[in-house]
Amino acid sequence: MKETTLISISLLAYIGSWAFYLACVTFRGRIAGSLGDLMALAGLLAQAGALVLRWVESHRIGIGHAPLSNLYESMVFFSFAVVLIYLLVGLKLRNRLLGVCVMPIAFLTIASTSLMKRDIQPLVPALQSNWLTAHVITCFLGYGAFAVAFGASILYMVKSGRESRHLDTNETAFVDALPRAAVLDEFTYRLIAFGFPLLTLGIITGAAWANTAWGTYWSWDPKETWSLIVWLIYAAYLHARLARGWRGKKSALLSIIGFCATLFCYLGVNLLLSGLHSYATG
Amino acid sequence: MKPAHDSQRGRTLYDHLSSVRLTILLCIALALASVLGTLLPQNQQHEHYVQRYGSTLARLLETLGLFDLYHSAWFVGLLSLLALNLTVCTMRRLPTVWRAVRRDLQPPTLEALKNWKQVSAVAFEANPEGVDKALREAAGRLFRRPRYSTRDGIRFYGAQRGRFSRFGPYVTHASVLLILLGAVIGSLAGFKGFVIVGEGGTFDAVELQPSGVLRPLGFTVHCTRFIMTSYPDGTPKEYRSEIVIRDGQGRILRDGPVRVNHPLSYNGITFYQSSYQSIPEVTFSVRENATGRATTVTAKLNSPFPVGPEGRTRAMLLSFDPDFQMPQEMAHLLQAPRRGMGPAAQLVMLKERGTQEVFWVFKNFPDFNKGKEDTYSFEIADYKMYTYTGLQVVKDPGTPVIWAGCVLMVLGFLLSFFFDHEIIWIALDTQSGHRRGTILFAGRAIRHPASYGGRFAGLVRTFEQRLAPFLHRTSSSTRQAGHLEGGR
Repeated sequence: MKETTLISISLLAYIGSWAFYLACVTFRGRIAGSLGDLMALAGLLAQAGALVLRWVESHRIGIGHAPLSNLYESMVFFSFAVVLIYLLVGLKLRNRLLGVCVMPIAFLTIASTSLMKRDIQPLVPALQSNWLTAHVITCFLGYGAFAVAFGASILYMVKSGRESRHLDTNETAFVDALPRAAVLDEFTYRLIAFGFPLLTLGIITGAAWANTAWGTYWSWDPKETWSLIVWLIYAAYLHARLARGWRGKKSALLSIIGFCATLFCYLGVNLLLSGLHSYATG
Repeated sequence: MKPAHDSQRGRTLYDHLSSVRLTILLCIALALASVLGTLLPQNQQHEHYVQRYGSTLARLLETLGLFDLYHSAWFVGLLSLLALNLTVCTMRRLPTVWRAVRRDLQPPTLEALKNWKQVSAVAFEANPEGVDKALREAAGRLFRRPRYSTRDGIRFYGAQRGRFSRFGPYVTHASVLLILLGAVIGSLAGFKGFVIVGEGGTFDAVELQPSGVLRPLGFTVHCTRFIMTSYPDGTPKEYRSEIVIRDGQGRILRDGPVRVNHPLSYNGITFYQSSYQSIPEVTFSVRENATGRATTVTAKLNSPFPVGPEGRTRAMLLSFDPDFQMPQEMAHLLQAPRRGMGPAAQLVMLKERGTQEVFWVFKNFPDFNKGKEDTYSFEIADYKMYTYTGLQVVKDPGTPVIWAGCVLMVLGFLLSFFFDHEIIWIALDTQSGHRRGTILFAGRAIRHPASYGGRFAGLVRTFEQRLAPFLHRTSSSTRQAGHLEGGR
């Protein structure tokens, strides 16, 4: 099977998963929810297969490297990380509305790669480093955790608005089916407490790499600076929560801002600002 | 972890400096400042800013330090304040945490235990001494150094684990301080320099960045070769400079290749492959059209050279390409359209009246630009390409401190997020003279109380399994927060 076929299959599977999740929360169908989980898993496996095929292919044409080296490859891996974290951690929430929030992040990312150059490119000298794999994997698993945390924070906002107004009409059945706001709040925290050390490892491996490549572990390049901005936002979130007892809307808002900064750090910097990561543009 | 007194009044400077509120404010302030720094171009030439923002605004922004934001006094001040905040916060809270961790478990009262977040009770009918023995045995197996005590006829069994995790936040704070310290050491005791050297060239000093000061290295560096290879599709594959380091007497101290991602170090100074340049030297044959007299002149990039007998007119080589690629849309200008056009030089005439005229000269098409320049005719007689390698030369004694800080930070996160200080008390309440009573399990976790429920339930189950042979379970009641539930 070809890599592009597998990517298309994963795209369809994620859209299917999203549709089943929608059906599940709308009609409260248990089977639809399980089918949504299965479709998400199928999409994840297809994507894993595509990553492996691409890796093998790169070795076959003699420029073997992990498929994590340009924008297309990183976007495929980003959606992979989001779905992986969702299936590993997100399912524990036992509420498919989270899937309704998270799956679009995955399939919109894959869909947008159809506009990009997909050919396997050889690594320029700066990218020929053992740090490449460790750096990209830690960063993107962190991004994935923040993405799922973002989904949970959105649900929190919806749910807490509902709880505070004490409305219980049938029109908003799927909102009422959500876990209690406090549960969503704790769930968001757990994901951020999982993603934050991963982002930190990503920044550290990036610094170690920069130090062997350019002789400076930190040069205030836009990418580095934005990763620090993301780090500072989540550091503020953790301090506010653990030491000052922030709960609810304020911390959910920080989590949402944190993910917006993450997205800018990942895509905005590559597309809008120039810098050391400029190879990851097309 | 809350400040000693929460009221706004009566807070001293020390209170403010040690507050988590300040930490959060500083994190947000540093994040906003960093955003600004990525929006405004940093460390450009002054003219660039004037062109972009106008002279008034440019001067204002420059005065505020916004063009070298990350090294400006106020940004460094914010970082210093963060360091102070972390230090004072740690000094203030660490002794309390230290005492709390050192202090052994204090036997609580039954009433207090009943109010703990995680509580589970089992009523039993059995010989209390047997249950006591079983509880001690189970506690001894599951925990290190459990505590036993008796108060008002109720027997208490206490145990804890993960006390060390209480230090997690302070380990993390220490790691941030260590990283900042490493950066300070690097900027005080280290240097960053850059040198451009041609094949066969030698240097014993580097130009420091950004000051431009020459710094002697204490040894000489000779570049024997610079090699650049490409993949079949033209993407660069490797840049490599072969260098030899010698002392004053010419003895070889170190030699080897410097490649991207594979630097070479000697005596704490590290050489990094940074860039390369191909610098041309072009010899022109210049003919004065009026007289037909021809002269030859050798030109380097961007340095004006005299033209003509009196040398009153000057010209300058702007660019040179050993194999000029004619853009497709301009190919029709040539009679034989070819894309690789061979050597081409771009020149500018600097005339006395101040007018400038830019034109191209092609070695293989000498007639191409005839008539453009009416006084003189240029032809490329010969050219040489000199390859230069750009090496970043860095001494940074702060890096080991930075890496130690990074390791410590990861350790701090492990302690903070993946371990917790958990305390469990078991109260054995027997009605005197009867073979029945209740066992109360109470547990709590210090940092993540909300997520302790699952582990507490598991622990209670384990105890009950170990107690099973000794008691006839009559009833049990459990009050505990769900796996994920809780909050406040």
